[in-house]
Amino acid sequence: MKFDENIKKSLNLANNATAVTDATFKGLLENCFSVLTGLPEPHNVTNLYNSKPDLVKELYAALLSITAEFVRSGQKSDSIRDFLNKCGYNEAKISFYTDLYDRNREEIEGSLINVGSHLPHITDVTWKIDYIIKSSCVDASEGPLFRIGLQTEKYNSEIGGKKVELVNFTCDSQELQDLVYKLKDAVRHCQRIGSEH
Amino acid sequence: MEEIDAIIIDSLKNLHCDFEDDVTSLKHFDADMVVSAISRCLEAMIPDTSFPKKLPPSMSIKLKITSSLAARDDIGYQTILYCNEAEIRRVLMFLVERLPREASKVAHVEQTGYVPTLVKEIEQKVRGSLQQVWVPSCVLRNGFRRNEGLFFHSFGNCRPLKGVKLQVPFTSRSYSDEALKEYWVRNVPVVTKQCEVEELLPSLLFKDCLISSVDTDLRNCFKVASHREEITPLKSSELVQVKMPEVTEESESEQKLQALVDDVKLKKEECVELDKKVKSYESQLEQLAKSRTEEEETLQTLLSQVNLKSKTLTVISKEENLQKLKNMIEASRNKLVNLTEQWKSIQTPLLEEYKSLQNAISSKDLKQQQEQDKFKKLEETHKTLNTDLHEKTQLEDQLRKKLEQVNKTNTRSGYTRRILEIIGNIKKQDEEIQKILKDTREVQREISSLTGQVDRSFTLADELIFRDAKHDETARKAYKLLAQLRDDCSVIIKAVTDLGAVERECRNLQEQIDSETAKESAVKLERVNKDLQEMKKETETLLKQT
Amino acid sequence: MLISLRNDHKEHLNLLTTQSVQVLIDFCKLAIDFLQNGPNLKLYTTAAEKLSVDLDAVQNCIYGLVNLLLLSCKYKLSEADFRDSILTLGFSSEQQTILHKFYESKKTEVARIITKLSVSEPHYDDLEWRFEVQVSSRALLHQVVPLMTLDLSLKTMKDDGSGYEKEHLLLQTDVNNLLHITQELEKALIESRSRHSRKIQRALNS
Repeated sequence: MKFDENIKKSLNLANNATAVTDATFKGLLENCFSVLTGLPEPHNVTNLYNSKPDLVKELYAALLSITAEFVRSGQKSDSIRDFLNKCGYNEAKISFYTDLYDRNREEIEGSLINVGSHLPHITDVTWKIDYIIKSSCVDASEGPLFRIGLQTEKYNSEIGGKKVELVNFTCDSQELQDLVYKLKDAVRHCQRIGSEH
Repeated sequence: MEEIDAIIIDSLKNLHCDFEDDVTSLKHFDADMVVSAISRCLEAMIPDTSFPKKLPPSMSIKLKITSSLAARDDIGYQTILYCNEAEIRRVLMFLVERLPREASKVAHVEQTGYVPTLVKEIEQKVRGSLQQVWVPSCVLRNGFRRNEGLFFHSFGNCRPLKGVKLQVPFTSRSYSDEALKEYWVRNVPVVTKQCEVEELLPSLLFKDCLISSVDTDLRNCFKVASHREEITPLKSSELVQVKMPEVTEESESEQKLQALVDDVKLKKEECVELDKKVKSYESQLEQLAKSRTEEEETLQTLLSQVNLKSKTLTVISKEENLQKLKNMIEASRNKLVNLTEQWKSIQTPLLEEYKSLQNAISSKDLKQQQEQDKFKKLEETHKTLNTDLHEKTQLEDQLRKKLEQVNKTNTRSGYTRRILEIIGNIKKQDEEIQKILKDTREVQREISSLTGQVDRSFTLADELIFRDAKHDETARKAYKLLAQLRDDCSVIIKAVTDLGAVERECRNLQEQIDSETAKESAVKLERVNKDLQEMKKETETLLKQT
Repeated sequence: MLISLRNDHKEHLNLLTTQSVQVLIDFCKLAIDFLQNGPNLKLYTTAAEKLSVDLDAVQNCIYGLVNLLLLSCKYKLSEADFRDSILTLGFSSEQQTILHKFYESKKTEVARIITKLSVSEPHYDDLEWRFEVQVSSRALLHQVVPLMTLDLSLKTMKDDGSGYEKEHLLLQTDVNNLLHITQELEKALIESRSRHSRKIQRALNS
């Protein structure tokens, strides 16, 4: 975990008791963890400015940056304690930070895993069984035919969110048997991994 | 037997068989309990199976379930339905012995390296995902749920890495510009307002994700630039001039473009050549100028030399002057020698001092270096020790947890204690048996010595009386009586031994009777009869229904 | 069931009813040749000369035979039905035997092709899977995200029925969803074998 000297200087601003009161610091931290987990900010930042908006803006950015970096590199709260200690934070501030950190770390990890590209992700399946009674070509019944729709989700940059698409295809009994057999094979593989000690 | 029963019941309770606490012996087992015990054992041995735990009231289904359970054990349904203590003990012992050992799991020591922990985490994740109930992805925020770890069920919200450049005030730098400060205080928004919520994390973490590969304009610019550079090495100012029309005219015909490009190429080449020529001429000019100044300098020196020489020539032409000059030279030479000696006397101690000081400095340097090395090493060891400590404490925690679990079940120590008790009992029993054997052996020895004595006394009496019987009539009578006595005695002895044999037989028979009564055949027979009648009734009702 | 032909179709085939058995066999061979290699005008001209009829008549005859074959396959006629159907066209019993042989020889092939023609939606072809674990990414250095990457291959019958077009879809899923879709599809499979489904199937077949 290596940080720019500049960010340490920015973090040091929190020790300026006149510009950054304890209430301001707490408010900023609550905002910080809330935003990083993807929730709206609980406090309006403009109310936390006090006399020095530029200081608060800088400190807020620095807190967000180090929190993101801590989670990214998987830091435990004791090494964070060391780091904040070196930045000259007092015990109350440190424990307030580590407390919030431990509570929100997993959620922020989730937000970080959500950065990247993936293949369309199957989330559900629909099926129905059809019997063909008559068609234009053949005057004989046929079936059962399975109409299968795999529901997939993928991020779409135009919408700016997930887009659900159905992959539709048809199976006859034999083909579905083959598909189920192969899927079960995969499931068995997972079960074997899960049951090993 | 009690110990065995206790062990069996204890291991069954470990398998979550819910027996009453007062069940301490297999004598108290009824058919229901036996069924549940056997089902639990089979489930523990064969994973992913389930067997019925309770017997239904209907007789025929009872029979079916018990036969299906029994089929796996090579026993009959009667063993389960009409339970016999000894047989059930045999079956349960067989099952308990074959239960999968949990002890082997406990003995396995966890490692804390990167790969083992990773593998363990993977196992946990997969197991967790398999055990969780499925939920549709639309109810999950950001596509995952938390349940002792993160479980992803959809990556629909997973967006490519893309961020923006964040404007952050930096107040530690002295303000050179009041306007900048004003901008920071009043205008610049908070970082969270500078981009979308989803873009905040990448923007905070990475400063280099500003250029998106999707940006087509930028891509075109790059394409054109690299294309131009391949043709001729251009200066950047020219590149910009050329690039702008190029970009706009790209849509126009390819031929025109090509012609223009060729034209430019030719012109460029000409220009470059001319440039080169100009340069070479300039360098020639420079060289010429340089050589000219050199020549001038040499001329100057030559002139001054000529002047000097002509002057000295005039001086030397007089004899007196020459002598004076010679004296002066001598004097100055002597003075020089004196001065050098003086200098030497001053210089030597100073030099020595300098040397010693330098030595001191170098030795100090060396020491410092060593100290630094030591310090670094210490720091490193400190770090490694810290990480070690961390891992060890983790391991300790895990082991402690395990220990608690082990203590809770406490099976191992309980078993060993029980085994030790059993061994003590067996030893005691063994001693008693040995004592009894010794007693028997003594008695036998006594018997044999007594029989020998009897035999011997008879033969002695026989001989004595026989000798007298030749002469004496009474002795003859006595001899006859003696023979009779001997016969009678042997009959008595035989009777006594017979009595012993009969007694033994009696005891055997008594034991057999006891074992037969223990089987309670009459009661069981009654139960079987009752069940049979019930079955018949059921069949009748079924027949009526059909 | 019997099939009834259109009047012009009947007329086209009428020419054959008056011909000898050998000629009928030759025509059947020509029809088979048509199915395999397309029309062969040269052969038709010589046949027309031999029978001293128009080329058109011969061609119509061939087309009529092929159409008869297609119709019979479409309705999956049994031997008795087929014979009865062509009896109404005026074929003698020997000719019926020959035509029936012609029908039998090509029946399965033609039936297979026309069933495939009707269904042109993508069908399941193959599935390959690979178990992966995402252990690190640029945004999060240590993580454990198990994933199952699937290569689903679908096949669609080409318009001319000459073969399949295959399409590969790369998808992924997590273990929990994998278990779910497997169970769902197995449910579908079991449902199709249930008594209820079999009853429907039997009802439709009769």
